[in-house]
Amino acid sequence: MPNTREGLAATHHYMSKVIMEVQFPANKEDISAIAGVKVIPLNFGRSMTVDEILSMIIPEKFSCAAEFFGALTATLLMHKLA
Amino acid sequence: MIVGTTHALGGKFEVEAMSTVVVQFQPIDCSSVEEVDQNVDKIIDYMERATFGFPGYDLIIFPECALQGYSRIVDSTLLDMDSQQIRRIQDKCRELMVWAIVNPYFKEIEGKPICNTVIIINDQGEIVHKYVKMNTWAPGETAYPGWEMPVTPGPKGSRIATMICADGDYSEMYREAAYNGANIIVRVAHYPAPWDNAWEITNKAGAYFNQCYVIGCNAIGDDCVFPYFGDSMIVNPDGNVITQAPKGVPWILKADLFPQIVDKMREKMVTSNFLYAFKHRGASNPEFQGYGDTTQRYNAYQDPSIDNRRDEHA
Repeated sequence: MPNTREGLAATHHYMSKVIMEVQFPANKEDISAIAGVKVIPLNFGRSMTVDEILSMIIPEKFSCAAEFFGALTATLLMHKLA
Repeated sequence: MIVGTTHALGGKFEVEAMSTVVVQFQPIDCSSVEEVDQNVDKIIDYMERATFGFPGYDLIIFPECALQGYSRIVDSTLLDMDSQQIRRIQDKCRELMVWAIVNPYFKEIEGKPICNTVIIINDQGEIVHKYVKMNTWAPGETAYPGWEMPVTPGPKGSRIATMICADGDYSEMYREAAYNGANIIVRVAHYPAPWDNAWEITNKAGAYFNQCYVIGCNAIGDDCVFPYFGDSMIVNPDGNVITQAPKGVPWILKADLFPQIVDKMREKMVTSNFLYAFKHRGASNPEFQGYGDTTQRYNAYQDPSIDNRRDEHA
């Protein structure tokens, strides 16, 4: 999946696309089963699979999409990937 | 249609259409049982008319105190749960296979005297929901204040909470309803001028803050005290008005609502998911890992704010 603009990786866009069919509450296994191998663009020209991203996220389960995307953003910031 | 979310709701999901009828009318301000009967006649007439106007409807809603009127509650007009006037509406629901929301004044509920009460009658004619007005319009309204906000499964996947008139002036009421699981909030009212703007902004805000349909069913006309302006409305969970009745005239609104959309919004909305976010603040901050700060930091909801002077006087 292509990156969009420098500093504005469409991470949430592509993540939204690939986890569209995930039903929340969901755990990491649920998300991985649907989208684990999908590649998501990150900032600074990098990209990772959903599984790789999930392995960095600390919480194991997510009550709703807001919780998942909050954890995603927090994790990418923590690892200086956003 | 939902406006006001960043991330796609996404995916395929099933919805059911709940055909909803809202009746805006002027009940008689009763001083006798005979007048209560006349109001019940009118309610039943509207239920029957709606079968012609809106065939197949699921739910019909009437304003606050549609049986007795609002401003002149006299003892002789108070009803019991098994009063003949209530049974007539139950029978009509069973006959027409529709649900109804009506708001009588009862002599007592659970031992509490004189309660302004919403009931929901299902399509089998059973009373499946009782809600006593929690925020009576003091000082004029002296009925016993309610003590809980139940949420009741309704037709087509709905989970209905009810509130009455001044209840809707308190943001806590909508939040309590949504927090208890409601996807539809029905607010019946005898809401008077000059609070026209308050009626509109509170209904919209209640819907938007809590991702909930809000159905406002207001009375019209003037009684011995106030002018009631109508403006009944159905508000989308994004806070936009779907349809609205005009001021001051009898009217019937009808809309098909999709309760499961509310459930999907709460599951999938990332921004503006207030029911989640108000208890998970700052969820995308690295320190809070999606959970956010879950500490209770609202002084308004801390226990020391409870005024216990009544206990001291008891």
